[in-house]
Amino acid sequence: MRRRFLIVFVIISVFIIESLAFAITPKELIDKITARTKEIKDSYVDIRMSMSVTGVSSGSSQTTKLTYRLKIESITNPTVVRITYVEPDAFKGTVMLIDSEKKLLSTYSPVANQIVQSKIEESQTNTSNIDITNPISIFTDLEKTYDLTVEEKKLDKKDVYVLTATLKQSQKGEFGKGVFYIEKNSLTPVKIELFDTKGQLVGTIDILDIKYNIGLKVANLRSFPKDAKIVKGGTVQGTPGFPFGSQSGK
Amino acid sequence: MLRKRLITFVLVFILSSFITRYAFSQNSLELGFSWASSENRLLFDARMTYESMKLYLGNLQEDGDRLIVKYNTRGLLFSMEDENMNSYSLIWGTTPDKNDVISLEVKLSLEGYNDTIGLYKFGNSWGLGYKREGTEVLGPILGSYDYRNYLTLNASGSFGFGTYSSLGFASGAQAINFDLGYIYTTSDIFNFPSNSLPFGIGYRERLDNGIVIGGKFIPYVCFNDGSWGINLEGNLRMNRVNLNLGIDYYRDNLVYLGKIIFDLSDTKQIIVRVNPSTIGVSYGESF
Repeated sequence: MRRRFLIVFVIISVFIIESLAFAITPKELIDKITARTKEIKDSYVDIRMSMSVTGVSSGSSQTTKLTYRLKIESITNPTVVRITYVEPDAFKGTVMLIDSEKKLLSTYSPVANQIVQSKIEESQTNTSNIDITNPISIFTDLEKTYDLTVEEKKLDKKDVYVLTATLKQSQKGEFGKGVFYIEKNSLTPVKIELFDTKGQLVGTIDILDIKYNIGLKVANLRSFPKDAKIVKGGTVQGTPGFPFGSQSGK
Repeated sequence: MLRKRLITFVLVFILSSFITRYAFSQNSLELGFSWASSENRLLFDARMTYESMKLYLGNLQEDGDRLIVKYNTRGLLFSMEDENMNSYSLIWGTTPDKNDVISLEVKLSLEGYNDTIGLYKFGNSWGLGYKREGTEVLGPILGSYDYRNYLTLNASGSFGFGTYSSLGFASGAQAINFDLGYIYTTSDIFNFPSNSLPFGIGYRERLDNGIVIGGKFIPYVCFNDGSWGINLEGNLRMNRVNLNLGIDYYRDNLVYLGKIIFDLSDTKQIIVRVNPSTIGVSYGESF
């Protein structure tokens, strides 16, 4: 009996030691993701975003759930990001082009056959948006504002790292918590959940498809219909984050 | 001699500084030919957009960005943009009727809208034109507007005036626009006769399969003699083919204007432009 107990104890100890030895810290995970990102020259991402937006109407607050599906093609050098709306139907076919090299934001509306081109000016103000031209920037200095933990789980039969960022009590932020599901082998994100400061889930981003280094060309990303009417003017402050509507150029 | 060299140097310096400093739009080059039926001649066409500069040679049909270009003008168009997205254009051309066309335009890029002011000479007429176009987001609706005013001084010394406005709303898969104008005195620029009232409606729809189809129907009536005319526009955008057609019918006179763009890829196109005096075919590539 005593011998059997010793064997079980040794096995459990080995497992614990092994798991401790291979457990990854949040910093190590972020460093690995950052290193992986440096290999990326271009990418294609198909995402579905669901956001709960609360607005006040007739004195009472109402929460509306908005779902967007976007195809994001991006090139890192020069940084050019082309976002094509797939859902909702009201925005289907709308293209938003963020050209960091030329500091231009162009929004194309297919039904109006019109492009609104605005200048992007560097913003001194900090926004809560995720910089879409550099999504990895969300992890930069994250530990200053958030307490980070990492655990390993299964999500849809995939081995994932679950990086949880919880807002520190001394800090203020729009989101109280963010949970990032990152596939273990490829280090690509598969899902992001965002919670408000009350702990309510306010947004989910599902990464439906992601491809790296597929040979995207800047000229293709920058192309618009030749007969589209161009309205120029206006500036936007800072590089846009995840878009939740078309830009007016104002 | 020294003065000439100095001027050349200054011009080259200004040009090169514009080109190198102010990256603006996608670069493209288009080369082609037009067959001028009235002259029985094959003519060379070229359009180049390089950073902040545009240079068109030959067929100037359907350059919607300009304030004053008749569809059948051939010649030179040169345009440059500054760092504030304002553009400055020079048009120097001629029509098949041997009318000289000279135009100087300044397009100001303001907050969400553009103002264009142009001074032009068309044949023996001088004129001043003004156009404002803009866009507004009104909740889920994308609003757009375009209004133009012209004041002309004809060779006889008489003044002409006209105004034309278009107001559009787009939401989801549909877009609608309303046009209204009044032409007090026709000029070489307007297609509409004197003392006439064009009014009409346009509609565009994006179908489930991604095809966009639309048209504009603008009848007009001339108060001088009760005569009428019709201006029609049609657009069809398919996956790789884009068709634009315009027809104007007035007093047994039919004017047509067409453009078909065949997209060979995202960056390569074949463009066919048709009007009563020429038919042109070009190959264009963006880079």
